[in-house]
Amino acid sequence: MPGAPIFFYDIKLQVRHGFYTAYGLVCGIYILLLYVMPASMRETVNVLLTFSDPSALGFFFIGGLVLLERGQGIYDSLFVTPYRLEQYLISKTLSLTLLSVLSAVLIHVSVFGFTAGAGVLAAGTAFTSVFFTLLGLGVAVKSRSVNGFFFLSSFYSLPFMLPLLSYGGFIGAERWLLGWLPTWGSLVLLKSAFEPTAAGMLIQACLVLAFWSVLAFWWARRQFARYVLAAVGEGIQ
Amino acid sequence: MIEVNGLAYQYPGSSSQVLKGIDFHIAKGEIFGFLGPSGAGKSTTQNILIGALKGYTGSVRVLGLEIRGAGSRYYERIGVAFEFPNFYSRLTAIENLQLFRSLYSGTTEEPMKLLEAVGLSGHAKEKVAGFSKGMRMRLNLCRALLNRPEVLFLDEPTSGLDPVNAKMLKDIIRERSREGTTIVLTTHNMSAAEQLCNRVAFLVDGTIPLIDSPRALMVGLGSRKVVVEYRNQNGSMESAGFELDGIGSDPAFQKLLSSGTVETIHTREATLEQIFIEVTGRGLS
Repeated sequence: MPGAPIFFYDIKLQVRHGFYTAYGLVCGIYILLLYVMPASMRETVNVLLTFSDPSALGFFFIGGLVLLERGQGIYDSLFVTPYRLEQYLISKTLSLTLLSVLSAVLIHVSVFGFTAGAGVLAAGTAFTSVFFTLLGLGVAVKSRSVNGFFFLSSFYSLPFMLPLLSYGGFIGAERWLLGWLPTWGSLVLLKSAFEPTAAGMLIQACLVLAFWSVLAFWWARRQFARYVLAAVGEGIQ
Repeated sequence: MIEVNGLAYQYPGSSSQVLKGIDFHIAKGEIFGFLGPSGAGKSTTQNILIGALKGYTGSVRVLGLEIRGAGSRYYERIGVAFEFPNFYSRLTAIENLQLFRSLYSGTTEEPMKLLEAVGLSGHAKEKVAGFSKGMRMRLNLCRALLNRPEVLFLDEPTSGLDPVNAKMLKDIIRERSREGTTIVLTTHNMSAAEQLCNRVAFLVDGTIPLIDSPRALMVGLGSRKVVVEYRNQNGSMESAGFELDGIGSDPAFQKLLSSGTVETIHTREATLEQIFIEVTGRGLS
């Protein structure tokens, strides 16, 4: 398929922009942090760390990439080729998801070893990363600056943090109340790396995340076409 | 190759049309230039032709396709070099070309051969971030040629180039034209248009008041005079004008020629810029 190799160029670009170096350092810090804390807290903290950072890193990294690519004026040349917007979205999302999964698995394996839970943790991270990367992309194309992106990002991401209140015990963990949010699904999958979870819960978590990811893809595509493709040819010096 | 009839365009939210029903056709292998001042509608015309703006009225057919309905397959057949040569600055020149090459499914050029053609093969493994504007412009042409396009759209292709590299790019453009590539040039560089284009269209306020070959315009609208510069008896320069018609039997002209004092002889064709101002009442800058 034409355009498929661009996935590898996306990874190369992320390496050149220092994403992998930065995340190597971040992972090192998290691993140290988990080692020095009491063993009884490690599993809970690992779930929260994986949820809030490797899983959601795509949200901020895609914001940086979109602002960078737009600043470099790349889109004019990119979208007068057969490369389709859908391919662009998929390549960017999957390449950042790979970084998310590698980071999450590295932290998990370094602290807990090669457990059976590592697989489900990787799946939970991948699902969550896909959703957050697409959400971040939709926000980024609307933003004109890094500050603008951070300002808008709080509006768009905060509602999805509600399940964390349940996880922290601040509100009840009613499935009917929060179970329709993608991040509820994320927490269920990430927690299931450490505790037995009912199959129904896992299926619901996957379905909810899949539904929101499709929705986010549709929304990101619409936003990109509106804010980026409509400006192709205007030129950036 | 390109057939445009009654093309009009109005940007969303704007109260007036930027293109007001223009007509033109461009033949296969032709180098066709759009000349006009900023805001005349040149970029809008190019953006419609490359399929970036679809909400136009009238008919725009390129390679037999109505552009309004052209999909991604259309981009397999055209090449576009925008005025501002933007690249992935953290990738090298060759990596940038390989990346863009990977987007095409048809036959493509070998990136290194293209770099050699524009004198950049020695910089192939350097990051584009360190390239000058001139180097980026040459790389920009390479990118537009990657897919062996049938139609090539070039926006100010010699902008920022020194005379040697400008000539190199013009030679490549002429060579592609000879091979059958149709080339659409958008510029306000009269000299480049005179040297390259088979025909030019003057675009002013969304209309095309004139389309013709640069030579026909320059000869047809210039004065039929010859100006001779010579040294007088004191050794200082003087000039004399002669009507071109009957110049062979003009005794004064023949006397001057045989005097051995002639330094230059020039016909007085109009320049494209003079013609543009005369036809449109507007300057190009």
